[in-house]
Amino acid sequence: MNATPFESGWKSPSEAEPSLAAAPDDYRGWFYRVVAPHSDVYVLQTGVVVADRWFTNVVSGDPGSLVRSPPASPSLDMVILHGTLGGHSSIAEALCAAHGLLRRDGIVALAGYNRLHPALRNRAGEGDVPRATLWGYRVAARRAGFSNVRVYSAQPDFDSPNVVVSTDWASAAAFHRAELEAHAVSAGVRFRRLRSAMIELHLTPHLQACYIMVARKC
Amino acid sequence: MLDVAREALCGVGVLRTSDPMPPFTVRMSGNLVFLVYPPGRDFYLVKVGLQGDLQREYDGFCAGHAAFPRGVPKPLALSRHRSFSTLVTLGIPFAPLGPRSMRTPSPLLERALTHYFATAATTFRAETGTSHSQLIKAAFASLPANVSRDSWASYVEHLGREVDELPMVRQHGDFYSNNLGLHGDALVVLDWEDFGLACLPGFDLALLLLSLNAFSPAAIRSNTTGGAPHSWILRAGTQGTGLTTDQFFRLMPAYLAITARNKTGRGYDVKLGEWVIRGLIDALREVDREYTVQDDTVSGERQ
Repeated sequence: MNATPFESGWKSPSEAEPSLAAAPDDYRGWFYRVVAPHSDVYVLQTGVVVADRWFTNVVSGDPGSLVRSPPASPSLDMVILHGTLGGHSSIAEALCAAHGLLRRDGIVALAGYNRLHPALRNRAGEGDVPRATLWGYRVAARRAGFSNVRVYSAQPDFDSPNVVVSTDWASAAAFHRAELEAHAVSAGVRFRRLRSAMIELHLTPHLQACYIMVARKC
Repeated sequence: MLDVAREALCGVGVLRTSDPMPPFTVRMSGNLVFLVYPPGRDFYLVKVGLQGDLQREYDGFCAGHAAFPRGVPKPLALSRHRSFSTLVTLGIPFAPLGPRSMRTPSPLLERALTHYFATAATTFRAETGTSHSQLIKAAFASLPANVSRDSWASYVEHLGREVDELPMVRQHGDFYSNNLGLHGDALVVLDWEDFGLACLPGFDLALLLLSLNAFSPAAIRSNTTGGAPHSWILRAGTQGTGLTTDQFFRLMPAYLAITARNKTGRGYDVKLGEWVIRGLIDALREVDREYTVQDDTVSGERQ
């Protein structure tokens, strides 16, 4: 997110951030605060409640219910779909609903699984969790009318990630090279050359388990 | 926070105000650590202090980079953006050092480690106005109730003058193998946020060995005897710091007490605190046995 939001109609930030002292080891939802311009933005969160400790102005609910009785004008600064489609049947529908609720330049953040990841291929039971390829997330966001689409891989999962990696080549290659090296010097790595080739060919980002897609309403 | 990181990079001239945020990796460890990859060869670390000021870490980077220009990232700025303390350094590419490479070291790594300890022993000297024994006593006094005063009071007394004759040397304070790497023949040392919290010589060596041995002083003893996998680390450390092996092991309870005090409530894993206390109790028991033997010998000689 390329960030000159204050010039494009965001209200100015307050100096005070929500306190992190309440649950010092609970960092769930931190990446949403990273991509938001400040902690005062008006946020709708769906799924597991993760945004409260990072934002001061949060409502919880489904975009679907709000779309059925929409506000007079779109007023949300940010919609967070945390591992859920928010009552919709597809990512495209969920993103369209979010688009309708966001004001211009508002941000949508959607966390979900990678459809291609081998360990997740058979987890059909989790019906409401977004599931798409890296390209699938990008395309769905563009089709829903969003721009500045960025997809990040969340390590080890999107619920409480330690690291979030932009899937662009420079950052992804540097991160995965370092991970491969670190594994090699601690526990050893099978198929090291193959893994290394996949990194250099920029295939590794497409095989990560969890993504967080962030985009801006044009 | 992306805006904070981007503004910090604009502040050091890496980005223009109209430039978008380049690709990045961001890690949450209480504070936010961005690694940012603009076009070109260089990359940058931007740390955003969510839990407070980053002055100590900036000072650590400055001192570290001055002493080890090829091994410590060059600090570019400490500034404040939107109320957050923000630190920017140049990135250093490196090969990480894990438990495997620490068990089967190259001569290059041993030289690099010896050089680090020797240079740090002279470059990081400090005057604090407080003696080591006072600082050690304060560290023990801050321990949780499960380490009784009786168990450490005689240890501190025994250390006495010997420890106060050692120089004050600011320690890196987080000298674990995952904060170390190799770049060419230079040891890369990252994460300077605890720099100078401890000034007892050998503290960094102890942290390195403790972290490689599950915080067990007994395991360190057995893994550092002649030819054992970590004997080279002890050799490099004692050569570099000027401590004898006996001195180093006698100071082990002090190192652990200082670790317990420094790591408590600073965003480290709660388990770390438990391991340190367990190691401390073992180390005190071991040193106590040694002192008992010494005292028996002295009283025997007197008789």
